[in-house]
Amino acid sequence: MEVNNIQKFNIARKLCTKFDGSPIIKKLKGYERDPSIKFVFYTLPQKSHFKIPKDVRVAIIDFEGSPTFMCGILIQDTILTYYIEEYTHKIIFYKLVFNLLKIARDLWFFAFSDHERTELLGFYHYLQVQGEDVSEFAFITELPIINLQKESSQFESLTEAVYSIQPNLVKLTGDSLFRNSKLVNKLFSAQMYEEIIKHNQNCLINESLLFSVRWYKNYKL
Amino acid sequence: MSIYYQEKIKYITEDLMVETYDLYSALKKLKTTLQDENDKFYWQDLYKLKVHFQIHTPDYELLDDFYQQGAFKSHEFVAIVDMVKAKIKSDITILTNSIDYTIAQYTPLKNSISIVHFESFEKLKSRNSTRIDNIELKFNLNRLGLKIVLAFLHWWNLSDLAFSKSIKVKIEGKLRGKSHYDEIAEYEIKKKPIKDLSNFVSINDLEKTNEFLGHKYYFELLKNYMFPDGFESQAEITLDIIKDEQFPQKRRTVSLDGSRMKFHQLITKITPHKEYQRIIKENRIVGIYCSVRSANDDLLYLLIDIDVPSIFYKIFPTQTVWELTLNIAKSITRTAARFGLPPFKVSFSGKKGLHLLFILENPQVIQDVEQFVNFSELYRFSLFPGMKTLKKEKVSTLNDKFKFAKSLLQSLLLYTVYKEGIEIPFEIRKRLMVTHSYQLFRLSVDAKNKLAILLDSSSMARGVFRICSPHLGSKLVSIPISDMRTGKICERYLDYENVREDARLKNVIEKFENNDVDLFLQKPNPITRDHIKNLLRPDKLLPAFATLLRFGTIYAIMRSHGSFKFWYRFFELRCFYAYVQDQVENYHGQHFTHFINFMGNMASRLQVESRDQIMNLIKLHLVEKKISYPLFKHWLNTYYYIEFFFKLKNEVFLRENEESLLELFQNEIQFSNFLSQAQEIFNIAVYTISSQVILEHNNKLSQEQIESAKEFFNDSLVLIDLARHYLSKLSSSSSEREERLIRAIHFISKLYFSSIVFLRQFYKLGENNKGIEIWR
Repeated sequence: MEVNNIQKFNIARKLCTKFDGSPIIKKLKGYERDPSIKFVFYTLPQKSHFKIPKDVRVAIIDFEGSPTFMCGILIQDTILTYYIEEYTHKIIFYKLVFNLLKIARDLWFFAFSDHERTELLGFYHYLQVQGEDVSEFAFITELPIINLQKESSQFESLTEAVYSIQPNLVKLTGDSLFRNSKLVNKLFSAQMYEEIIKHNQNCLINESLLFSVRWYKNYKL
Repeated sequence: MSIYYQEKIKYITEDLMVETYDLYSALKKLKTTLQDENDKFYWQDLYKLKVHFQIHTPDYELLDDFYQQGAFKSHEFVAIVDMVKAKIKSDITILTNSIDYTIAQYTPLKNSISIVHFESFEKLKSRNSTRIDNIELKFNLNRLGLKIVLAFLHWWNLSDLAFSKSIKVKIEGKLRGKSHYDEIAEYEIKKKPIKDLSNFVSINDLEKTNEFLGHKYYFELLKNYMFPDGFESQAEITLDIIKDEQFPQKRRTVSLDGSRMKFHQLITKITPHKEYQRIIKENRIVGIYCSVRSANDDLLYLLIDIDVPSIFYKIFPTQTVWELTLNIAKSITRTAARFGLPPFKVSFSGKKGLHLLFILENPQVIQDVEQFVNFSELYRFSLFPGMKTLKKEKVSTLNDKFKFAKSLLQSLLLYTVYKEGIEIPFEIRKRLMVTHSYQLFRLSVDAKNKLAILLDSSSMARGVFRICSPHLGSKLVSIPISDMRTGKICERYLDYENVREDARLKNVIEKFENNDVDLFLQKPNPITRDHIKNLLRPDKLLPAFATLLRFGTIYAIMRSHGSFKFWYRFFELRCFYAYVQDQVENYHGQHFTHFINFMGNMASRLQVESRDQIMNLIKLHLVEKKISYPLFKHWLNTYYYIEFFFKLKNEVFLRENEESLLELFQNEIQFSNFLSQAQEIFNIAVYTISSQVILEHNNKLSQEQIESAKEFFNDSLVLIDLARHYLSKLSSSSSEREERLIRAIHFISKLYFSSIVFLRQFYKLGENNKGIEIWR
């Protein structure tokens, strides 16, 4: 579901309530997966300024590839990355993503751009057309995914956004692909998943910073 | 055609150009005739002159001959013919259009010169068709001097016409008191070897150029430019290489003992002087150019090239034109100093212009590694026009460091021309009737005004500048004319004759021999990252930068003085308000007094009317913490629109006719502008009610003000309700959707006018334009 400006102000008000995200993280980590689904997780260092504070009910989601083959989710200090190595396992992957979102439904999901929201709707309709029973995932059509991009600029890139919050950034934002997301599919074809995972993790931690430093400030009345 | 093949054909065509048409001699003869007081056609007895060029293209026989001689292969023949035809066609068309455009720009030329161009084709038996271009120029000699006429005719000396089959020039004149044209002369222009037509650097000069370019001091200064401090890789180098009977050609590679290599890869810091001399000599190098980019793709130099069209030297005294050229350099240096930049290193270009140069401190100053230029200022607060397009373009100011540097320098030039001003010598101003300096300049090579002086910031990837070597046409060396110790142009070089004298090859060699090389070995001033960051501020170069992006390189400098003033002020305000918003958003508790003073000073410098209100707002949010950031943003935005509508665009309050809205609705873009304008005007009206009527209820309002507030209150209540009613029912039935939308828009437009009427009456706008003062 697309989130409008007024809803964003409301969401900003609701975000900081008493909340412990560790059971959700534990459930997601332990979720039983098909062998075709690969999973890695990364815990941000104790003092990292990229992690989301403990009492904030927020998750950041980021997909990679076109068509999507990787899904990264950041909750508090944990980045969970799920991916497939062959597109033949697409259906299993899409269902897994839906199940993960179902587990984490108590959180507000953020993404940089509307891509993730439209992709999820795409997954849903794709599964429907393949004759899969999607009734238990109907919530996806109403799941709000909040766009972190600047409201005045729907074409803002992540590099710009990172530059905008880190004025003294001289060299790089730390991305292994130099922010060239077109490389993702080439790396996927070459089975170089490590690089894509690093790229995905970098995107997520930068988006997390954007949430804390920029988005929240702009919508908390 | 592949790029490789196209390049190859281009090189072959260049090699074929050994002869060209001698238009110069014909014009010299014409000049002699017209200046002869005893001749029937003495120019002062004429009041009209008509010059007709007839050009037949291409010269198949010439190309056949070259083919027979083995200059190219049979499969290349068609490609060469096509290239020659296309080049001549485009050259003639572009020149005709440019002359036509140039004439229209200057009042004295507008009614005195006209140009007509028509083309036809001739098909002969067993031959391919020939293109015939007819160009007719008419001059009114009553208003023009002979110099201007000849200068306009000299433009037709196009090098590519070398491949035309024939050029005929017919000159006719109308004597005073007569109504018909008489033939003055008709010339069938002859071809001559290029080396006989111009005095370019040739084999005869090789001994001198070898001595000069091979000199130990030249080698030292070459290394200074090639291996700048702070960079790991060397600058790319382009060379002028001499060939028998031909104009020297630009190449990057050199031969050494049978192997070929790029010059800048061959020469290193440790290359022995003797080896260097051998390369210069064996490869017949007569000129060396340094690129603004390094072999490692780093940006090394920021370069401004002032290129004065030769027509200026034909029309005006040389010293006058030189004074103008120096005035331009001085103004640019003044602008640079105003924005905290050090003085440029100024060099004579070798013919008519100047080169202004900075060096970057290190590669990190400007980078674009992650597909964006690494200045957060570009994305944080500037809200540049056309961001969407800039991001889509493969190479744009936002994603390419070379393009960014070029735009930055162009905005410096734009500011210089419009805001700093350039002193134009009286004679030039009077003769061309120039009222403002922008009429005399252009920023793009592609701009059509041929008379305008090109202020070219060649800091693109392909930008090069001559390193103190002889100009191919004039044989004069591009000597430095400014002293980096004082940052000023040397007294001696205020006189053009002294520059020409000192730039002669033999005189420069003599200086080298006498160890008089201080000026030559001085390095350009380095530009740091802080320098550039400092430029990207609302009170510095940012408004000019935004204006440049708004209108593009060609059209930004074609704005009238009033138009530029409006747009500059618009971007000044827009950038300032966005800057304040950004600084407050990113404020992390650093010294508040310093912060608020800095903001206050900037607002004063920019003459921001709501300065005090903004400062209070900042305190309210950052110190007293009484308002949240979104609320701060909203209020700041309202202040911006108050300043925008009351000061910058106050004609909106004078608009009475509601029907003019129909014009707005015809255009989608204007309509969306209208909607946002309506919203902001309504916001200001609401702000007025809350601040002036509710919060400041002790204010004594006049009866008129109270009446207007009541009326607005009643109107807005009803209109908002009606608009909301129709908007809320929009999704119910698609058949009625359009009608409901139209009704909603109708009530919004009513609300817009109601807000305007209220503001006009409340602040008594229209009687005087002091909205801000009343509002404060």
